[in-house]
Amino acid sequence: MSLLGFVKKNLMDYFIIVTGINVAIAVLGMNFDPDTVLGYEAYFSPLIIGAVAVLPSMVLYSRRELSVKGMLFRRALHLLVLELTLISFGYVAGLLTQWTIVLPFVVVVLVVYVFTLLVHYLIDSRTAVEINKGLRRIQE
Amino acid sequence: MKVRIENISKSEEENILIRCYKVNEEIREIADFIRARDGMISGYEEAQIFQIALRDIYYFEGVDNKVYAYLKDHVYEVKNKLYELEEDYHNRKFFRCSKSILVNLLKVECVKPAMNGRFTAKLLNREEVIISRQYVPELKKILQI
Repeated sequence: MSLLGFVKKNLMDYFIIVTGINVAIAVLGMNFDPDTVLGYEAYFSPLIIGAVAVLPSMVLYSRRELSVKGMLFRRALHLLVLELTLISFGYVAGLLTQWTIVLPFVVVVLVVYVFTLLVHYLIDSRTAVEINKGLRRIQE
Repeated sequence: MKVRIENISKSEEENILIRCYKVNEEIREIADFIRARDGMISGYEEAQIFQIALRDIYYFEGVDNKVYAYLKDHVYEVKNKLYELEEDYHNRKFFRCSKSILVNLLKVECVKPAMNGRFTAKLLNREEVIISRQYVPELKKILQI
């Protein structure tokens, strides 16, 4: 994939991740810190966390076509780097103040990760349906 | 070499005759070009040459500077480069789906999503080839999507 194509894909990922983080903050907040009142500045946190979450995507970049095995390895590595990056960022930013919320945090990151992959899969499935219709047309 | 073109009536069958002292590489290239125009291509297997109809080819694959034509249950080596085949046969629905594969769209049963924006094309002979993300816009253009 070209660098420009990679940047475009990550920009799209960014907005999907921000949506996922919004949902995650709402769910985590309601369960672990329901009494906290947030100000307007809280609206920036999903945008900032989303930007931090996109950075480890560099692990997935390759100029040449990766094999399925290679891609699976990169995906696993990406998830690991993503979790470590976000946990580190959480501590530095003061979001993770207790050890007890690290595990739910890791799970939420995993859920947002799967959510992003799912959205991509749904978009690609729709493209595949269009391609199959096009194929039927030229084969008739 | 002299080139002679003769007009004939519509009742006669069109044909091309090459008269030469010896069938060398140059003559083979000319013959291959004419056959390619007619939807045929030369395939090589163990020093034997076979004439293959393009409609029978599922895909071409470039491996280690060699190009192979994959039929339903047979593989032949072809002497053309992959980019030449791409240029010559794009109007015969051959589509470059990855760096090393040129697939016959008329032999694709269906397409499904694979990992990381790639797609898998399942062929009528049950084989599967990968469609790289970078070639998907071109495929959409061909299919007028």
